[in-house]
Amino acid sequence: MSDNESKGIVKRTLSRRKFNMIAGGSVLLAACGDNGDTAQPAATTAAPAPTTEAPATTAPATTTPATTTTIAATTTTEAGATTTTAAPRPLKTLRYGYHAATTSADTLDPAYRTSSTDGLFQTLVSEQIVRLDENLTPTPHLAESWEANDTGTEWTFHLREGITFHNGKPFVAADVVYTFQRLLDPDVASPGAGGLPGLEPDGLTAPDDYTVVMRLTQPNVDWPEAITNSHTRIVPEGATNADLAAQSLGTGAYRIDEFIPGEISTVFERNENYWQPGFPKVDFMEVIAIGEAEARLAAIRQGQVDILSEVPLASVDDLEADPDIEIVTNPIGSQSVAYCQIDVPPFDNNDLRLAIKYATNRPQHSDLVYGGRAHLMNDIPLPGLIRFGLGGSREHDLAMAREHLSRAGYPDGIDLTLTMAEMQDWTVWCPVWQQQLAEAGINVELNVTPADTYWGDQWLSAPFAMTGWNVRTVDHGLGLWYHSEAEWNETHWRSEEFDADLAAARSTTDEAERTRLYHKMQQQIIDEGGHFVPTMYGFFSAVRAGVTGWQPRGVYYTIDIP
Amino acid sequence: MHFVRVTGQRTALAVVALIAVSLITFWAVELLPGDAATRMLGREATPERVAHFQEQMNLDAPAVERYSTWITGFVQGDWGESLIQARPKTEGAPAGRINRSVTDIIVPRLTNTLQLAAFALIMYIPLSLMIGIVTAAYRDRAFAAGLSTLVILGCAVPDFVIAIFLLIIFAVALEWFPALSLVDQAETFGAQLRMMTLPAVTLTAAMTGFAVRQMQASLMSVLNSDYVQFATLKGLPRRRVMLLHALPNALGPALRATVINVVWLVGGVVLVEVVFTYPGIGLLLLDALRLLDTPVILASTMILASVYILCNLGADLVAAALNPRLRTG
Repeated sequence: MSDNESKGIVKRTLSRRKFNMIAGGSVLLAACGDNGDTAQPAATTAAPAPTTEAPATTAPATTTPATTTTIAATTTTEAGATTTTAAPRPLKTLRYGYHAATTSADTLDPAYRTSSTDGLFQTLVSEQIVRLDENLTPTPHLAESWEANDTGTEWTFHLREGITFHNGKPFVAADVVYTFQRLLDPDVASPGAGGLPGLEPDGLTAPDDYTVVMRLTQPNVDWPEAITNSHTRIVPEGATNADLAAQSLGTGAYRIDEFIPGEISTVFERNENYWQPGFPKVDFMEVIAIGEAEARLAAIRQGQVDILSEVPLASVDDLEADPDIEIVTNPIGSQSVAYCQIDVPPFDNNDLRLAIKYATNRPQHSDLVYGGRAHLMNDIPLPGLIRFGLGGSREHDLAMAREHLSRAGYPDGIDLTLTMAEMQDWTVWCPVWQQQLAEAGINVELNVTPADTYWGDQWLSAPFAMTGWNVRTVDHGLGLWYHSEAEWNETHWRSEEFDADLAAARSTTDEAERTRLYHKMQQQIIDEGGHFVPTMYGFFSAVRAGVTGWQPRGVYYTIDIP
Repeated sequence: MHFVRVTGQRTALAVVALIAVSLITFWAVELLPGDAATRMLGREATPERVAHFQEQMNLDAPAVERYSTWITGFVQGDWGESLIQARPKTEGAPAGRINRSVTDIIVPRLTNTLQLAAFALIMYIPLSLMIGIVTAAYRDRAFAAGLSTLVILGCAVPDFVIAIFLLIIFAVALEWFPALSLVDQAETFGAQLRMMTLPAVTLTAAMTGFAVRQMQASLMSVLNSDYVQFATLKGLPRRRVMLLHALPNALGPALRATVINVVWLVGGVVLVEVVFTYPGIGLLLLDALRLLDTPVILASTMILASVYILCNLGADLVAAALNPRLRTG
């Protein structure tokens, strides 16, 4: 039996149950779609995938001749073909242990992406015209190149030819126009609409099948960066909400014919027509969502998953000691952040904010909360590691903290209430910070509220509270958190000068001038803003021995909403 | 005829209880902050988007109307559609996400949970009988004392501790059983049994502890009773006295303990499913509660409550049939 025939059988009969029968666990290798071209080259297993061959019990029992598929199991040995037909290529499955439970609200529709789980699924099945590389710099993807007019108000994207969607439809400019117009459609109510400032539905045109023009109502010299927001994955023209929810309809490296949200395990199969040569590297990508931390660690130790997406920092040392497991790191990750509303007393006094910043002991915070593995930050959720990033971190200085506290009018200390919930790493983060501030006379009481409703009820309304942000590009972050009219301006930073600087940075093509402006804005936030960001943790993934060629890419986490 | 009347009364009471459960559940969910639209949107919940999805999910209709629509459908066997996984099409609005009825969602999960519960019960019944008899019959021996200690441990240690303990020992250290109970993927029945073993053992441990404690007490008093003493003095073999004279009289408390255990199972599975990533109705209910997906919550709760009520109803009727003093109830 040839490769093609065996694939045909897989395709014809693949359903959840049937997949289970033909592709159990296996040793694998992989790089998934979007990650593809940045993954380390030459993905190979240390040894050939050990497999046994067996007749497929799932083949229709009618006229179909005995077929051979591969049952792979980590413990079996090479048994060779046991049927009369030639052995097919062993099917490879990557079992990807995901660090959060799936929910029935998960969706493959990019317009409705609300969680990082959605982000993962959508990354597998669909693609953007521009995407961000490791340093959060825009790079071509479904578009080969682009150019702008002198003022940055008109952008022309040249698309790759010869790409098809999972349903066989060729990818053309009309699909890009449709995707963006759909995001802007009030009836679709996509959360992605807000991420496209200056774009109107009629600003999108397709002069020919492989050219898209976007005209903006305001200049943006980094427009390609702006359209890497997490909702802009391209869907085929005319696709409805129902179409996009039930199956994969993208150009991505993997496809799925029936998507059921909330399942513990979701199996994606390779897109045979994928455009990037050499990808995808496996036949099946199985995402196993494991909500329980102990079970997650047990699964990677035992080899029930090949990759664990995110290892809790407390367990990194343990897993590293296991000879069968390798830890791979992505330095750009996520950060827990405290914010205060700078127009609400007592936080309207910058001396109080500075006292809190000086009282924060960042190296100690990293040690106690993240086992010393965190990156030290400077009270703005943008690290120095990215394009236009400023970096640095304020020295711990209790004398300065007390002096600022006195100047603020609290020589004998102050009592504050920090609103939080038992979620993310806040249960450790907050008490550690609380202790540090107490040394300077800033007594923080922790107000623990229900986690389920935290984002709806507390965040943005509590004056001094916890929040969390993945790293974004500098321009995106500054616009998202500090622009006067930003929906998520949690610190109430409102400055005409700042808004003007941001607009200026977006409309000049002089890289040095842009750098100066972005640095100036960040320095203002560091000196006067209402964010308290001691640390950023990178993402640690665990990979079983025998899996190579896979690198965690922070980008779909970092640009995405947690 | 008295008995028939009692049966009728108890059954009617059970139906009333079920309706009460649905009412309480529905209004408890209503009282929780937020709704399916805000929970689904999370951080993206701006007022316009929330309003848009509330309209699609029909959440803008009055609660009384939504409840009566639901209960009317439910009694006719139509359990409705999930708010999250099916958005009813409204005039001019785009079509819903994915059309899955509550029945489609619940049935596979319920099947998995029932299998797990059945497996746990199959292990539990002979195990608790055996341990009960052995510890009562050989109560002076060291090994019986050891067994009794184990039983008390089983009662005292919370089940999630037992679950994590079993996970660390038998899945991680010894690798005898898988850490994730992905039973939907099991290729053979044997593989499925292996995946179900750790969660089932966790449930069995807690149930056995409770049942044995109940049985021990009654067996002890029966063993000390005159008629058993007499049987022993008459020279009957110890085994015969134990199995034919003492045990039947101690079974009553054991049966009652079993009813309580089955009822306990209803809640116990939720926790065990979370620890072992077992795709059952417990995990489903948890997910639905997080998202305030009322139709799924209601259907799951009604199923769990029915198990509870049916067990108690069964126990009441059996007791009434056996005990003439209760028949007048």
